[in-house]
Amino acid sequence: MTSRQIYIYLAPALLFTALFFIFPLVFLLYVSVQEWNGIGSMNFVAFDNFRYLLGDPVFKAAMINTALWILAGILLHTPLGLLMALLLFRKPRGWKLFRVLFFLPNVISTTALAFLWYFVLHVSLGLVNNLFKSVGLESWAHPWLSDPGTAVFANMIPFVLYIGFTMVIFLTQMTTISPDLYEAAEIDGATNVQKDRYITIPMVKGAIAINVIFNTAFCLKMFEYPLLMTGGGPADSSINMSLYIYREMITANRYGISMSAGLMAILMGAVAMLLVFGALGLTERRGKA
Amino acid sequence: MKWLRFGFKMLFLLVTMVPFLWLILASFKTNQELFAAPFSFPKRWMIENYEAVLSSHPIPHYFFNSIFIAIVSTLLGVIVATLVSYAFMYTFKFKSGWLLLITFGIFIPTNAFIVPYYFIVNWLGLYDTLLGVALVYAGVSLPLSVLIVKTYMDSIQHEILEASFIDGASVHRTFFQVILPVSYPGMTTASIFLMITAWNELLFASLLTQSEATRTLQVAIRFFLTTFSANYPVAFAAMVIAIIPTIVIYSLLSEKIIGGLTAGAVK
Amino acid sequence: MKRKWLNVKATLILVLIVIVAGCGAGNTKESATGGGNGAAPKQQVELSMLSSWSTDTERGRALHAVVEKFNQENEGNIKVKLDINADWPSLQQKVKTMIAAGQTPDLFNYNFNPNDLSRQESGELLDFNPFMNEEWKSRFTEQDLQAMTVDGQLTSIPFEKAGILFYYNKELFAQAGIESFPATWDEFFQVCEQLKSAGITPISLMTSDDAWHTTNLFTYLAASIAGTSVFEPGQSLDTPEVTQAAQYLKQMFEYTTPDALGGNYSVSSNNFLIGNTAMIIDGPWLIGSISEEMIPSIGIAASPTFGDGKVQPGFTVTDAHTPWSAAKQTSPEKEEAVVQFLKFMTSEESSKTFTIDGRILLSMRLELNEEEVSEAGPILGQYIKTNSEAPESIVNIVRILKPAATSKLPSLLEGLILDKFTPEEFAKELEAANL
Repeated sequence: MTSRQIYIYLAPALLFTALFFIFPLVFLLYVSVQEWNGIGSMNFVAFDNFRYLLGDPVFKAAMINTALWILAGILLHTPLGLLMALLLFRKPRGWKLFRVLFFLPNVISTTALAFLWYFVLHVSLGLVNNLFKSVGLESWAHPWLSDPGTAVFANMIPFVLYIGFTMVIFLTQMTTISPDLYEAAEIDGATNVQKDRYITIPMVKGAIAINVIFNTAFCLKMFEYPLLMTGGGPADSSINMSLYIYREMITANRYGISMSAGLMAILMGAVAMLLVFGALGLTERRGKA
Repeated sequence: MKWLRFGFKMLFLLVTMVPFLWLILASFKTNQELFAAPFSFPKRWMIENYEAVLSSHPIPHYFFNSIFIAIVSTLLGVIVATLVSYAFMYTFKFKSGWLLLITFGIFIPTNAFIVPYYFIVNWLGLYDTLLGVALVYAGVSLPLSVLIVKTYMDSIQHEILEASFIDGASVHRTFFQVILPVSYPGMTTASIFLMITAWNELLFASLLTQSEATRTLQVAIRFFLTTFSANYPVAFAAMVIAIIPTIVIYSLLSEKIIGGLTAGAVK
Repeated sequence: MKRKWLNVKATLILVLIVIVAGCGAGNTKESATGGGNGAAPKQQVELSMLSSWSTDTERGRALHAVVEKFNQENEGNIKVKLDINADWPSLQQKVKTMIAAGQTPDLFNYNFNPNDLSRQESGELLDFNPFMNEEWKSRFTEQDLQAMTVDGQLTSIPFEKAGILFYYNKELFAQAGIESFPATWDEFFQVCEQLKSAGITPISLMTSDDAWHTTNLFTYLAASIAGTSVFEPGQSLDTPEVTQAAQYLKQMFEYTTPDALGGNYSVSSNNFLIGNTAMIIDGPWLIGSISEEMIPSIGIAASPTFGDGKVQPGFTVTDAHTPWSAAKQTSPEKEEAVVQFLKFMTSEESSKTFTIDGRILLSMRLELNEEEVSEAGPILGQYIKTNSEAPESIVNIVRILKPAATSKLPSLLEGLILDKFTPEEFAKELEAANL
């Protein structure tokens, strides 16, 4: 394949990347060293915005909470998605229906999901607290959303539970596994769990890697759940990076600080990836031709 | 063990069904009932909520806009992602550099890009057009679509490329006749993602469109949730209406993916 | 080989054509709608107007009716195209971005904030001074026109200025043995105590988003302590008076629902609307949500005072001025059309439509006769009366701080309630954010 031929296939993607990522990123870098209210003239302030961020306890909380979100994405959401994919891959009775039903929450808008979980966890009307009350565990009832200690975890619940996309990506990868492998394993008398453990999971390493990347990216971008369920509160205890960026831009009109925070979020994503893939030793499979 | 598995599945089913059932239930309440007792049945089932949605705005028109944007952005996104993923089946100079360049954007919190996207779309002359929104969706989701399609293509054995060349096929013919036919599960997965993202997106849709002619369903749903009067049940009724096509699309497309389940591995 | 080459090229070209064709389509569309800049003399002028008032609200229907009427009267000459973006914060963001991009909408409304004059300072807004003849001027108070004047330019036409009043549930008051709305804060706190011991939650409060109901109360308290100039630009917020108001506010959280902390506008207003709470402090738009059965038991009252003369009894907190602004125009016909339309919007007749049908309290002068007041319904009638008797007013704190402080206020309030900050620290932090 000559390089000219390759570039034909690369060109459209490069065009899109230039338009929707490189140009905006240049803008982001430029504004991150300015003071700008979104309309008027910009004022060069060098690294003042970053200095502000590092000294801002709210930004620190946002970083910590985002890290917690990413951890939940990697340690809870992704394994749960894998588990459900493994269960469905065995094609139990009604698996086609399950495949649709498990995905259902992913087609519902975040606004509705956030609202539902606001009510589920509501201090007096909530399902959770009323359940505790009805079984005599009154003392377990708790203001989940308005206790600074639990608010950030309460916000994560819908994300952790609704694994539709993650599951679909696992299932897609599972379709590439050769049935011969399973037949051979059956001849050797392998149990279902052994098949999962020694065939399926190793064969979907690529999908694990992709899901870890996707879920980390999702956690860096998610601001609807905190915004709608707790408003990032109480007292900023459940704010995350994306909501911080949003708020600095939309309400505070401090674009410089917002863009600097955006840059920090990108760095955070990169660091998270290095840590995760360093720890797992999962490297991307290289193509050869 | 079997019971445990069954119990787990049922519990999970409950967790995933609750939002949907609750949304339907809530869409038949009055706003005050919703806030007084969010989980009880409505005293009277308010069909009026659905009538309010369908009669007050040209919903079919917004439906069409949303469908147009979803289809165009999905097609664009999948075509671009598939082309570039094919290129990455070969070795060439700075390959990992190119890959990094195209996929690094996945970590960018794109809500920080409101201003530049407005400028870009304006510069293209696409402000307040459906194509402008579709283009942005395809662009924003590109790193994701590329990673999905590429991961799938990586699982294709490279021997088939060589076999194809030995048969005398060109690079392009190999793409169309050998790679495309076996890549569709990856492309379909990316399509599901792109379609549903496009269908549910609000921020850029409200930034990049203005007139009724280009309004999407999600933007229209905000009509019922304004600062001065938020009528959640009516908004929920609109959401229920908006969800139906996505369920159909997902059911159809996921059939395609899992079609590969029975067909087994790539030959 | 060569032919296959063409094949792929064709595909790529197709993709590019789709994109380019789209651009073309966009361009033609733009020139079609944005016309009027040159061309034939007898061409219809089209004005594009942005607002958040959707026809699902009373105010949206009123606006729609007024615009329709104007279009009918000026058929063939001027057409106002009203585009609704229902989400207020994102509309505001968008208008700012449009101004920055040099594409200011022909007409738009926004919350006027003396501490955020970014729109005015952009130089992109039309100055109405040359068009302010005596007749138009007489529609407004000198004070409001003065307030909208920035650097000698009148770039906004005063429009909505909603008084925020106390709604109370007479039935719940009666259940607790309370006969009338308290006139002083001491009585007010007593009433709260009385309601509470009767098992009734006294007041709806909230802290999410802009903490609206809570900041209304806070502004009322601060103004009662220090007068209506307490938050004027340039004033320090780190004062004993603000601290004192914070102290009272914190106490008031003993008298609200458990979901007030972290609750949003809907949660808080619905607590009042379903009879969970006995009071709420809100604008006239709430009236439209009051259920039929509840209407007879709702009373409207002005704020209590401390009775020490710092403020005049009957004073009000108001929402921000929400005026209309317009883009600078290159063509005089378009400029003329904008002015003609805004004169129509602020005319006596339109004002009546906005107030009675839209429940919008306006900056414009408006004399309603008995019949018109009763047509407005019992609650709005009472509302208009109480509001118009206000001897002085102050804008809600969350509307007049610097944007950075505005975005911090809700979390500072939550910190105050959770004992993260003392009232002194609250005042200090608020001042620091407003610098």
